[in-house]
Amino acid sequence: MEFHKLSALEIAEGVKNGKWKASEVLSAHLERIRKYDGRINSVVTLSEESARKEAEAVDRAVAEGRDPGRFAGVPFLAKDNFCTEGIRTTCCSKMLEDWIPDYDATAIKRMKEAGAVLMGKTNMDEFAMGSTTESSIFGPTLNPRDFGRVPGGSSGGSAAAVAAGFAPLALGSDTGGSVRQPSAFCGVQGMKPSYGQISRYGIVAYASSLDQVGPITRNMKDMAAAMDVLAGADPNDTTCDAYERPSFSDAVLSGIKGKKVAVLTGFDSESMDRPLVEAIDRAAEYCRAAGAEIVKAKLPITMKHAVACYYMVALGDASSKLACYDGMRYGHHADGRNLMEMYKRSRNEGFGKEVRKRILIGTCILTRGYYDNYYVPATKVRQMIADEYAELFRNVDALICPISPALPYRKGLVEEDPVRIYLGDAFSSAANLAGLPSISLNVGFTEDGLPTNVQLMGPRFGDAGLLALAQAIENEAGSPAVADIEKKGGCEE
Amino acid sequence: MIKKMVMDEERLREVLSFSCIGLPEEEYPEVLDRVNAVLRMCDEMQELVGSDVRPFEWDVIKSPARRKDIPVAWDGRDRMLDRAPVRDGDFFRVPRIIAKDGTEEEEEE
Amino acid sequence: MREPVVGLEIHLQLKTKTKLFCSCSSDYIGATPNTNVCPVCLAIPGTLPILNDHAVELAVKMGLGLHCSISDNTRFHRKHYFYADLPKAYQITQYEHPIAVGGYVDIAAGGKTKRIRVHHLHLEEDAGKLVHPTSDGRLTGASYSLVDYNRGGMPLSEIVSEPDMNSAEEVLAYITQIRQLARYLDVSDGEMESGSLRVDVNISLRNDDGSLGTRVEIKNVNSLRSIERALGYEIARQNKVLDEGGCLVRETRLWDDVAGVTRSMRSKEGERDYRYYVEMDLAPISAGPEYVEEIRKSLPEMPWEKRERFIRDHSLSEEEAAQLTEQKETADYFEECVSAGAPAAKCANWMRMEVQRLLHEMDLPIEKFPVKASELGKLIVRVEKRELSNTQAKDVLAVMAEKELPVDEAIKACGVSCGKITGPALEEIIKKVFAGEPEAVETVRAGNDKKGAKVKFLQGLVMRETRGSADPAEVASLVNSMLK
Ligand SMILES: [Mg+2]
Ligand SMILES: [Zn+2]
Repeated sequence: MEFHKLSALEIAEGVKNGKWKASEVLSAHLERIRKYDGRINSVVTLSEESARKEAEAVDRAVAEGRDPGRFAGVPFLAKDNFCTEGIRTTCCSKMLEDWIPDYDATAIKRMKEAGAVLMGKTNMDEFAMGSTTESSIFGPTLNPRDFGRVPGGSSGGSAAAVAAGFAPLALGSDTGGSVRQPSAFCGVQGMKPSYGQISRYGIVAYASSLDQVGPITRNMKDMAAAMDVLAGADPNDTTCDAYERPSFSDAVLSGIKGKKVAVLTGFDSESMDRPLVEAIDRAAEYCRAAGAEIVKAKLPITMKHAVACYYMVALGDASSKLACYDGMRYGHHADGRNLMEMYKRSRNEGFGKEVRKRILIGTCILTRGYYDNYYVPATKVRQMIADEYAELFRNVDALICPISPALPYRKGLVEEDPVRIYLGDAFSSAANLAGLPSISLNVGFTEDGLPTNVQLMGPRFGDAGLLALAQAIENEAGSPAVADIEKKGGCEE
Repeated sequence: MIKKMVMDEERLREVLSFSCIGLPEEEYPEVLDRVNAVLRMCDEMQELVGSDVRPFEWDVIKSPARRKDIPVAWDGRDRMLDRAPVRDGDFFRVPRIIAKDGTEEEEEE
Repeated sequence: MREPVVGLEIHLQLKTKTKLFCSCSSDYIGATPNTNVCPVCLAIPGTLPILNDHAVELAVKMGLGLHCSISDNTRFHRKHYFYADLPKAYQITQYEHPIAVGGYVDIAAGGKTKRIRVHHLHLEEDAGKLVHPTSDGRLTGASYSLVDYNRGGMPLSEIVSEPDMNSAEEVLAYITQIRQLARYLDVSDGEMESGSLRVDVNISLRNDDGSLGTRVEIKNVNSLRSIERALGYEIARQNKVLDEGGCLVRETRLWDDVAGVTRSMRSKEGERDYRYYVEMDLAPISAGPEYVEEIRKSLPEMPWEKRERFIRDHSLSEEEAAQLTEQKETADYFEECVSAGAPAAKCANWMRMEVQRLLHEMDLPIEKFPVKASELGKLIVRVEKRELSNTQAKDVLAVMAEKELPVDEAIKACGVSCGKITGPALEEIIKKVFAGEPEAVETVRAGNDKKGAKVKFLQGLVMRETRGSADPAEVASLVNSMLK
């Protein structure tokens, strides 16, 4: 049985009806990770012992006729910025190298309650600051579709692991595209739900008003099921909305007949990689085939200002949320002759170069003068961006646009052309600014085997409708297969 | 109206102290370049902002219930202290804050 | 002499059961260090603040008591600085959008009433506590410090006044008034000794031309007395500097209670940049008009309203009313006493004299006084009915307090005969007294008691002998007639 090719729901189905055992499924996945992760470095911590116990508990539940849960025996991985009880949570930083939380993030808790089995933690850019998964203290993750390329980031480990068949489902966090862009690069499906859809409790923060938990899967039905499991109010996070969620799994099947879908225009498609421009057209065609009306839309304010606005908000907040790492209660500690020296040394040694620089930029933005002239305008522009989308979604049901202007970067581009990588956030970060649901959907591969993809966006809390759209396109485009990493993998030149 | 501001070395020094981050002097130009590049990206945002535009705020469908004033004890206190870099009995311990002469000591680079 | 201009920032610790943003117990005084802590108030990664509903309610109450308007779109900000007592390296506080704005307090000082404007009241979290192992417990010179986060995250309401006070007397009256209000509304204990009321003083001098001088902030004033002294010192210091042609610097100074001086903190205060910005981990607080109205309706009678009513309804003097309404518990006691049927003036008198004296002796607050108000009322009624003399009643009250007995049992225990000594019984006593004082009796009968001193002396002895149970008027007339 090739367990690694099954979807999450197929695994759960088989576990529930006794076709196979959760422990069996787990062993197969663990073995695959052990055998092949050396090639891509997507998993930073395996928690075999606790995973075995969880899987056995599921098998026991099945044997005793109890409901083992929606995700019975589904092995999953979580980005290393999700707090996991008893399992180290490092954010791939020296700062938290030895830190073992004594609580589970709400998202982890909900997954476990649904019968899913946590196998371990995945690689990421240090403190989620990056889009290539190259700045981890555990070394870079490689793209399982092409070892010469990066998996994207910052949830690169999670996306790569799902693509490599290490797990049918992994959790990431998305602050400006950190779930969707690596999903696009690795050829899997990634979703950033509406802000306030899933609790942020237990996610080591990057930026409070942008961060959102996002599932990564290989098909949309698994995605919808994950949303059913993950979304919901949480007494530990008051920014998580308390409204009654619809069944996302029902919604995903509802089709898009008669829906109006806008295709974004008015951006520089010339500088984009050609296959990605074609992907947009293809996706629009699939929508039309599924009965939707296609229109064009422009977002002038968003296209012009989203990246700048995103950097203001994200870095400003990061400088604040990362101030708690002072080396005195937890985390990396360095001695100092006095308090300030201890702080400075601990932070300097604990944080990597990129993190330190982003903290500095963020602090600059919030200091007197700059705050009034730059930060405050950014918060107003942010509202204008949200308004621009709200206006668009008064007239259309969803938007199709690029997620990344480029195919997966070659390794090391961060050093060569950082600006290009900055601008890579142009399409993805707007969804975070406006709090909108957004899906990065695979729509096939290039001749070289590189994934192509589109971004789907919908109105705030219109996650269910967006899943239906993604499903309709996936029906036509097909869901991506597991990367054949065992055959050395991909198309490295 | 755009008020173009440029971050300079003097302010960067202050920022280094506010954020408790050290930076070798030879890296100042690189960081300043990056800060100013971000600022240049942001210059044009100033123009957009009329006085009637409100700062960003979330739309909410249903606010979560407020927390009731009921104490809940936490059992992790000892684990927390044990894992602290410097535990001193029931306390966290930190090095000297202010020297004898009353000055807040500065670290040496 | 330049006129001092003073504004205050008063931090009131709110009387909640849990901290402002987590469910840790707020009962931290005397607790083992770092026991009232949790992942939220220790700033463990991944945790988020959750606002305490009750703290908001108390802040609204206090705001209403200060005649503020309550803002229905209020927000928290982060105030950033690194310090060992601040785990997140930012304090969650209200900055641009405080919950209550634009109120006032009327104070009585110098025989006049004066209105002190309140700029705003905002909510914020407290910091932890540092312990310095120097011999005098001071920060300066300690080679290391110990941190206790039990107080970290406690809910505070900071009340910022306008610079409307011009003397130490006004400052003390204002603080007293705020404290009284906080206690009436049950919003805070308002104790300076335990730190549940803390005051920062901003003071400048107004020049002869009306312009305001440089403002100096004084911290570390931990009692009304030290505030008074610190003000006195600082006014004199600033005047002296200016008289000598010097310049004042805008700074924060610490009051040294032992030396009786303020000292410059020599900090980089001016360079500090707190980088306030909106706390997005917390939703805006929606204190809508209905919510505020509900709280407004639940407000108790305010101290000044009670004072007025006592004057009006109980015909008390200003002074009596002020004294009896100083604490809500005293006022309640008084009213219960009155409702037991005793005349208000008499109740007021008993409370201000006897009850006060006993409380002082027993070192108890009124709410712990063992004599129930209704029992004191009954006692006063019996005095009114002349069943007991004043002197007897005082003895009885003492027994009531000491042995925690109701009136009737205390009277028995005291051994006073209930009811008056009169007629023949009284004559018997008078005869006995006369027999013991033949010289005095002789002097009077001989007509040599010109000033009536001896008669008074004899009357007094009789009163004493009856332990106050006789009617003084009857004693007087009987003594007089029997001397004839
Ligand atoms: Mg304050
Ligand atoms: Zn706590």
